Amino acid sequence: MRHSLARAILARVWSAVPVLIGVLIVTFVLIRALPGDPAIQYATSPGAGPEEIAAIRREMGLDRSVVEQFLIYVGEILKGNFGHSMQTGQPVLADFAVRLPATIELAVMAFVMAVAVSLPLGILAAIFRHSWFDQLCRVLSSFAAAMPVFFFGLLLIYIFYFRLGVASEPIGRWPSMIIPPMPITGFATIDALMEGDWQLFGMALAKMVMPAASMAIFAVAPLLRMMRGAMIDALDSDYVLASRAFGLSRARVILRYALPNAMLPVLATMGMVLSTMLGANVMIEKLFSWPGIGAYAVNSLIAVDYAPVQAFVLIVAVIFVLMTLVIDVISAAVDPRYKLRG
Amino acid sequence: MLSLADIRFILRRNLVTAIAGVLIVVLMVVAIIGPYIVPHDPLQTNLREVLRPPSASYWFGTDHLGRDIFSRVITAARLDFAIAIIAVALSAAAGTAVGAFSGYLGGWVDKLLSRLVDVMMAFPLFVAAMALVAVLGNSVQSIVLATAIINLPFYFRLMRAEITQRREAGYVEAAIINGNGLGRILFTFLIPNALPPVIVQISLNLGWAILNTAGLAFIGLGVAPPTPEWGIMIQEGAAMMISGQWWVVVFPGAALALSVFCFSLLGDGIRDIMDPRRRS
Repeated sequence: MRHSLARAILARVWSAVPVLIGVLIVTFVLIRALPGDPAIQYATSPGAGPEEIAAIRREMGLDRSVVEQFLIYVGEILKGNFGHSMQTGQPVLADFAVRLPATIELAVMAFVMAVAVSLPLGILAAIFRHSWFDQLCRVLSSFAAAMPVFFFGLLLIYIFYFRLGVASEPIGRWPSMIIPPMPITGFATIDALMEGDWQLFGMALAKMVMPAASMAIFAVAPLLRMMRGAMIDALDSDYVLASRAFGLSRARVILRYALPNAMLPVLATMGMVLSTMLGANVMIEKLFSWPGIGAYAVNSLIAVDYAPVQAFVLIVAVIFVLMTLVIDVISAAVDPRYKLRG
Repeated sequence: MLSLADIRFILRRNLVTAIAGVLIVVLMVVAIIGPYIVPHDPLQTNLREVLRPPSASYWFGTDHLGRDIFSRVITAARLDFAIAIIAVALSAAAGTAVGAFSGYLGGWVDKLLSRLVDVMMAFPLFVAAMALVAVLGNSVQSIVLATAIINLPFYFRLMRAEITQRREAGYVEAAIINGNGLGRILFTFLIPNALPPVIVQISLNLGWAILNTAGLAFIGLGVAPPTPEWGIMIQEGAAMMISGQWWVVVFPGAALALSVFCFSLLGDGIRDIMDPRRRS
């Protein structure tokens, strides 16, 4: 049996390859479809003649066939060359390296918050099915699903920063008057801890609470609904009935038997939520002036600076594909009933 | 088909769906006649009436340029709904047709189209919308087209799955034997039978498309100021939340959230009505 599982996993990994190639083709077409001729943009003087432009064209490889250009493009990406940002003047990859930790840190924080709120609520809603509590959770999740994240973020800013004055200023990662720690890892909280400064750690954490809570709101509905549904299926199953017939305590039946079985579909939803948070937190980064990759990509897009946008789309799509793959393989390894798509 | 008595019975059982439906009708009417009944010109600035809180003359207050927020919120409904409805209609029509075609034909055509859709699904929706706007240019038309393209895979997959299940059904075989062509088999026999899940998807999608349009406008893509649009109004009011003028953001935000809320409730309700097994 194990052997066939290994084969199924290999087949699943293999099935991600055409999708990744497709993603590369799409991003390649994306640059070619973008408005403007790169050779003319690159020409040093506005009065550059046709010969000069042709020379630049040759130098940039624009005179080669489309297939050749695509292979060069893939080769450069494998070497880690995503071009230069016109705005910062830096290689795009270097710009990303500086900003990625900020995005990951915020996404993880938001993910933890969303999971910590939704899963217990979903479990309780399933246990007390059709009660007033279940109804309340239903209203809550519909409400959370309809709430635009940027609007929710602004409501939090108004209530907790302006009215109550308990939140820190909703701009950036650090309060303006302090000297941030040396960026060793780029993760504000970890860097603060490495300097052993608990006060700095507290400040970094406080800065993250509001943007992370705003991001978490969109994940509440899918996580809560999935957890409730999976838990109801588990509670209605024969093995739960059997364990109750054996006279096991209610707590033991729920925690030992129903819950682990209900976690599998929730795991898949969690993977979806985390990868969406890594890529699609653009609005929150923009709202809170968070120095992450999403805000960087949007600002480049508005400034008609396309290299960072293209890199962003490519990187996020690859993360998305790999994340789905990992979740799929884990699910198959953990649960023999799970069918791999492939 | 459902009889009128059935519908009345279902509506009584689904009060929430009925209320959501009525609210959507009200919102639609507001979107259509709104621009003719608003008390102020939504574009008229008035520097003597800047950032006034809600009052008898300005129901929702005024913004940083002294424009009447009530008039702007009402006028914006038309644009936001129009973008969402056109985009979802395009996407549902194209996705359904291509999905049905692919599912019915099978073979390499189906394989190729399915792989293509897999690739489209590899991009997170909002990121895909951003990329498409980059290619198509920063305009309202691009937003409509981008929203239509990123939603296409859902309709494709839904329709393809439905058709693959029904392809071998008796009534299809009968239609083939009677000499019907491919187009007639698809559009007269197969697609109408597979429509219910598509209708649910459309209702859920409309709410999401409105959210997407406002989100893109919020980060500066698509609709441009000074056009009244909910996402732009929220963006313009963002700085004022820190200084306490809540009404600039709260009213357009509430209108946006209410619309999305109604469409998703309606979608859930329609799903219950169309799928009797899920009725409780």
